[in-house]
Amino acid sequence: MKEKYINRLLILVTIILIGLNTNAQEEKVPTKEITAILVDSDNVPVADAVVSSFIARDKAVTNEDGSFTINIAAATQEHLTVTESGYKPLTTEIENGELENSSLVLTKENIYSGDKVLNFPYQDMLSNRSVSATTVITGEELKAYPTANFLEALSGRVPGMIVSTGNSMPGYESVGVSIRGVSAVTYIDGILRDATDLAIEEVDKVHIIRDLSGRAMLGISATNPVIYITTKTGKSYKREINAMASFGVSSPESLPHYLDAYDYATLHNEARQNDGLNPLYSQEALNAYQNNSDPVRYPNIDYQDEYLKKQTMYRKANVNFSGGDQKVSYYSMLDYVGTDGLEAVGQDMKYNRYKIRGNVDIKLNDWMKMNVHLSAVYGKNKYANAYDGSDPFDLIGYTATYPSNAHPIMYDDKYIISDNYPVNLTNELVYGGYAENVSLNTQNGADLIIDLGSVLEGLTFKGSAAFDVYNSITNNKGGTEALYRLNFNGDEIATERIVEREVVPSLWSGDNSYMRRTTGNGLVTYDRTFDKHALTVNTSYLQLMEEVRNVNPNYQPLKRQDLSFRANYAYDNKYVAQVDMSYSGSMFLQKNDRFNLYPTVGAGWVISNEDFMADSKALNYLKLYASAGYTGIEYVGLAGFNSYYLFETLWQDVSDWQPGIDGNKGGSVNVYNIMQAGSESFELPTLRFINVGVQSSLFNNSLAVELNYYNRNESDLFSLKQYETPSLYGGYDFLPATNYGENQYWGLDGLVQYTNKVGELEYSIGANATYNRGKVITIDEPVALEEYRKRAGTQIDNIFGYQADGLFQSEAEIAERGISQSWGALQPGDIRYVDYNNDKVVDEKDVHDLGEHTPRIYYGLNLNLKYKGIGVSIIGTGRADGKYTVSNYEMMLSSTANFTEPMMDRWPETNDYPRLSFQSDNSNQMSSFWLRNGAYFTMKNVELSYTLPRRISQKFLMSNLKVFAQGKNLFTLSEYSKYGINPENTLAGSYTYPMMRTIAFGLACKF
Amino acid sequence: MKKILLILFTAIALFGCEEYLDKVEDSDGLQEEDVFTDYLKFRNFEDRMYKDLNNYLSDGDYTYIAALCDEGHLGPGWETMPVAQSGDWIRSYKTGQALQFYGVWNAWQSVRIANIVLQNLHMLEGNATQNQINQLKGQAHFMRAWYYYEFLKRQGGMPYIKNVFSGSDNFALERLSYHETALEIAADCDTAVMLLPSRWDDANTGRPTVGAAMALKASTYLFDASPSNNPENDNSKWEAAASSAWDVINMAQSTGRYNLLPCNGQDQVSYTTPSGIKTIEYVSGFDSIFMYQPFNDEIIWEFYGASWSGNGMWTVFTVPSLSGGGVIQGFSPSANIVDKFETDKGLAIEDDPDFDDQDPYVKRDPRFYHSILFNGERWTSQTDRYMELFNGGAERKNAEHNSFSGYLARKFWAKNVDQWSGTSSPFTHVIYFRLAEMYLQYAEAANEIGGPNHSISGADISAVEAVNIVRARVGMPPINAQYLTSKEAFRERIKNERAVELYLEGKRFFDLSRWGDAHKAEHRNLYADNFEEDGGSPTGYKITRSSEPFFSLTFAQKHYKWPIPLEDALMFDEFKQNPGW
Repeated sequence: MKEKYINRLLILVTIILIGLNTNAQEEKVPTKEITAILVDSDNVPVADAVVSSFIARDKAVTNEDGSFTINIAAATQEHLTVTESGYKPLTTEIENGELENSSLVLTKENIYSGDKVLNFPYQDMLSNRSVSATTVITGEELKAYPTANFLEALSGRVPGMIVSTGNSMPGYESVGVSIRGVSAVTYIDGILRDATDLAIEEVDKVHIIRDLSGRAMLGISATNPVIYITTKTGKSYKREINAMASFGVSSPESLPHYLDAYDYATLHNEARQNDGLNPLYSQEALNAYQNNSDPVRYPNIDYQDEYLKKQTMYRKANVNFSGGDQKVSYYSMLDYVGTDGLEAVGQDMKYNRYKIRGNVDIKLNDWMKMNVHLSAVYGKNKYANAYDGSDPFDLIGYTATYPSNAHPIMYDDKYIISDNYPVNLTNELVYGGYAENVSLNTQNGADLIIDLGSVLEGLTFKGSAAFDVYNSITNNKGGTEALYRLNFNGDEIATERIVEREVVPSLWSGDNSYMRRTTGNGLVTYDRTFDKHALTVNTSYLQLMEEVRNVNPNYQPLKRQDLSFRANYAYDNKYVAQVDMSYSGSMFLQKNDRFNLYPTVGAGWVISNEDFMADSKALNYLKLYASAGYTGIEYVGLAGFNSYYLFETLWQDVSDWQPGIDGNKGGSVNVYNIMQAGSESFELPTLRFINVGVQSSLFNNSLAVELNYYNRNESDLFSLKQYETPSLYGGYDFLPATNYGENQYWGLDGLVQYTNKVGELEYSIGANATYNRGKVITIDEPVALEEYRKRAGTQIDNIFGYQADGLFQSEAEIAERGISQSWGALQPGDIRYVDYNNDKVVDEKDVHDLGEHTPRIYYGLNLNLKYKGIGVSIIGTGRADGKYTVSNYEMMLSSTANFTEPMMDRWPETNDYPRLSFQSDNSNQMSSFWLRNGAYFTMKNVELSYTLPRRISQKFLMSNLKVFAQGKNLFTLSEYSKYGINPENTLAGSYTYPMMRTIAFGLACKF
Repeated sequence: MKKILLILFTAIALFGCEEYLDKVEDSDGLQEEDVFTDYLKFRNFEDRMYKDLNNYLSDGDYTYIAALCDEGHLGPGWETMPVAQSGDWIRSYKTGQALQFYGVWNAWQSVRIANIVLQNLHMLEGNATQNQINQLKGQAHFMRAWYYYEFLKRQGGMPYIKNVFSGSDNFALERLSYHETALEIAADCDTAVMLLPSRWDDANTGRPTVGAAMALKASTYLFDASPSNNPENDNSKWEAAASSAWDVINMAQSTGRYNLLPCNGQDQVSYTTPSGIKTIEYVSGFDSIFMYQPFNDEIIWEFYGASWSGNGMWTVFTVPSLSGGGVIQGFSPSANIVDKFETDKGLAIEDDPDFDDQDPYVKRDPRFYHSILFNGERWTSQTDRYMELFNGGAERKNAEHNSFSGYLARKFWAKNVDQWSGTSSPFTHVIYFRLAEMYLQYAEAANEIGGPNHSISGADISAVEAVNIVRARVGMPPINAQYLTSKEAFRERIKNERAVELYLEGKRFFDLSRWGDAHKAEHRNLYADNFEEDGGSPTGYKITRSSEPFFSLTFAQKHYKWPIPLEDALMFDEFKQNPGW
């Protein structure tokens, strides 16, 4: 196996060498040598930087005093380029071999400065003129994160953004990104696209647009926050080859702790005894579990230990080429990433993904340019399948449901199952067949940019088209070994065959699915500066169509259509005003009434550009900005509804009913049923957004500060009003969609980043945080509900439930209290709930606002150190407050689930867990008893690196050579970590793959 | 250059037309017109209103209604059962699959369907025969009435919805009184009588008939006249109950459409005694009303769909030692109910000097043998297997699914259906109304009007004659004269007759409730019989009544009217919750 990966790496290296050779074989031009120095804007020499000449193809490394000597083309126009991290890229033009100034000046890249170019949908804008709360991160910064899923790498870097890992199954990773509490959508190169299989190397910049104004031109597509990603393009007068390879191991960050057979049986007996039933396990059995003396009758299997690998492989390699001249620039990339599953037995999961990209910008003539972006991903995932199907075998789920004593795996060379536990894990993994999922996704787009300056100075037209296709096919092959049940008769052990051996001879061509997205966009821009007045006017027209196979219940592509307008005016680089208008159409509205006009306005004041601030030494940059606007919410999450036909009553033919009449007595009969009731009228729900913020750079740009206040209101939400419609109406099935419901959210987000240098040590330390909360204004709930049970008017994240008041300690206490609880007879050890309404009975009328809420404060911390070639970069993420509810499987004792470690603390051993019972639901209620501290801290990402001095790497033709060790999810600190539960995803390791800790080593070089 | 610009903007204008957002045609499914102008589609839409019929015999109904009264007991095999037995009926709505609770309340959906049908029937005109339209209309009226009857029996009066609500209508409706609701149900029944056929063809068996509509009206009026709902004892309500019941009997007699199924065979049970296996002969045929064959003319209205597919029903009545595996098993008839089966002389056991409580199985009402399995009885396909219902026996191990009382129910457990025979259960009827009940309804109402010998005008039988007809069918002698001394004395015998004749047919819970008897200790406290081995006893066991009830149901004054589910009770002040909830 390993040889295969080594081969792949070798192929990549060969490609690099070929690339180098082609470079070297080009014809020589007359050159001359020049000497100059490289300094920063404070006139401090920049040492150990690489300067390249384009035509002469020379490279030089600067000395301690910043001086360098380099060959340049003697007779023609030549360009020198310098790319140094922390500085803006520098390109200097040289006419006729004469350098105008003997020093090249690098400008520092600050977090905030007025001349930074920001990319927004349909428009690039100088940050001075932006009124939006938008944060930029570069692809470069994200490279420290070892992952197959791009979005994960964004963790902890942006205020207001929360990256949460759902499933970590290879190839099926689910990563959710929410911004200010709303899930974000990703745009790649201007097009709404999935970003999960983006390679970090191909990413140029990521703009996280957190307020509405920055994305208002997207119309109703702007409902969700936008992660606006641009991929790399070649830079003129520059050539670059980057190659990296890393190799590492992943292991579960945490796994829930299940009980061994003895503890399981002991607790099982105890639960039955508490229920008035006879214990299931005899003392003999318990002894045997404890001593492992009879593993056939009394097995004790640690499934995590037996079936999960301690660690799996992580592999990544990437090579990319970029460059360009005055006419054409290019960026091309090859990327490979591979991850394996945790299955230690039989067919383990193997995911391998290959990606290619080619971006080419061509200057067709003086007034016409074309940009082409093409990428394709081929992914293949092979895994043990579940029961002859194409879904992955849920090994993790079995560790959560099969107790250690379920049955032995093998006896007498036969695979064993039992009545209650009809799956033999080894059989499923070894003989159960496999499935392979092959996906091929391409994202293809082209822009044609026409300078219409001859018609009107400052006028540009840009037409874009994009065709994306996502395809996947899953083939599968089933099978099983013969399975036996053990029958014990005294000392005799007999085996009885339950399942026959089945060999499936061929691979079934299974499920396939596709999604296609076509996007067309026309954009007319007028951009002029008259004296102190700068005006940019954009008009955009967008069409978008998504076709998905198996749209339920009928084929219907989703289409969007927007006409939008933006005018941005700035006076003297100090005062900015912006107006956005979007005229958006939604398919879900009635014909002739599909379009809505949504306005957004904004203003900015760059205080640091005011004359009265000119003398300020401390304040380098200060901008205030505010914006407010509206858009629609095309959210159609009404279960069972065909959102395309909300205005029509739709019927369906269902065959689920056995009337016993109509000649078809025993069977089911087709019945016509209303599928959805047509709405008399409704509108798209409205989103209102306000953002006010300040960005500043202080003390010689060493301290960057940003703070935003936002307020978001969602009104006229979709609802069936089922709780305000009585049963007399005739039931849920007949309710039409109406506009009802309003939520109000507000919060703060911001960051502090301090960057400085002490001697040769450069360091940067920072923190960002979000405080997010909201209030329910209107919600569908019964009118006559008691005030304390109503959600309207309460904080949206408040937790409703029963207030637990410890555990009952004795029968006497139960009797003395004289208050019944709704889940049957009480016993000591049951949770005692507060009779909130004092009616002498605890029932659902006692459910109230517990005064606790889910976490509101999320934060990210970062630390970067650079000393000579050594670099350290650390990202930590976490939550600071709030509560979360333990998952069901942890809370509820169930005879069909495995038992977890917290259950050992059951009453009467401690008061941390109620008495065990299979029958009583008393303790399974949502109550304050099950709330846990939501705070945690995760060491999300660490990179240690060493970059060879350029002087040395240059000897190997490399302008940069870096070796690194990277880690993700290194450890988590939380109150519940001791039980193997990760608060970021409490179901990880039981319902889904565990969160993975990855440690990778690698090297990256630049030629 | 200007040309290019012009072209570009024209292109935008062209693409920009609204048609881009048009939907793909033919993706919106069936439309109202497609359904309502086609007879079969229309009927298939209407048929969905049968969906909320309640199968009171189902093992899927975890609030098996017979275990909520003195008919017997089911253990806590499912969360729902103990919650309902504890009287927490608000919570019962929320619990598990409480069909008897939420399932019935969900029938508002079917009421709406009936109303949609009635509103849209005009669209069928020209597309179906008048007869077809009449049948659809008649069924809609009947089923609307039926579901209101189900609400009436449980929660009481309801707003009688005859229109199809739209989302913007006023839902804050006041509840009608019990009597007003009963009158609305009766009016719907009257309309249905005009439209429904008296018998359906084979393919449509199971749809309601004229007889069903008449029986529904009669039963509604009986509930309306009963003490719980008629505290002022308004005699006109009894008149309405008697005459509507007589209408059904009269129709049955004059047209021959319905008959009491004759019992003219002989059957026997064997059981163990110290002197060997003993055999008792009894009149057979009673069980054929309920099982074995798909049709019989005693049944007026049943849940035919459930009857046809009712293969699971028998599991309710078996015990694990005999079948292995149902969720709810081992229905234990209480000793209270066992005592209600008379001796073959037509006397209550306490009134018969020849009755020996140590030899209680002999000389009983034949319905005793049809309904109850007792200790030592042979009731399996295996000839040597006898019921071990004695204390500690295989069927009585003090475990959840075993007998709690020393008895098991046989009425819906067919012969030779068990784990050894491999025979699946036969056709088992889920009967709502049968002719025998109509006689008993008539008798009850007529007795209340004028005593045992009263017959209403136009009727040719008296109250006691009606009861005797039912008794005669199983070979029981007429009501003994000692019980006919007064209206009150005879009332008790009518109650006894209903308990015995209609045992486990989903009636007694509601009977006790309408009579105002349900809260009484004798109906709440369920007793068991203990069987201790004693060779000197005729059965080989010393039989003693348990001194303490083995189970006590909770039934307070508030339980006479079921609660309105909280969601609805809390919605509008106009729509009032029943008292006490």
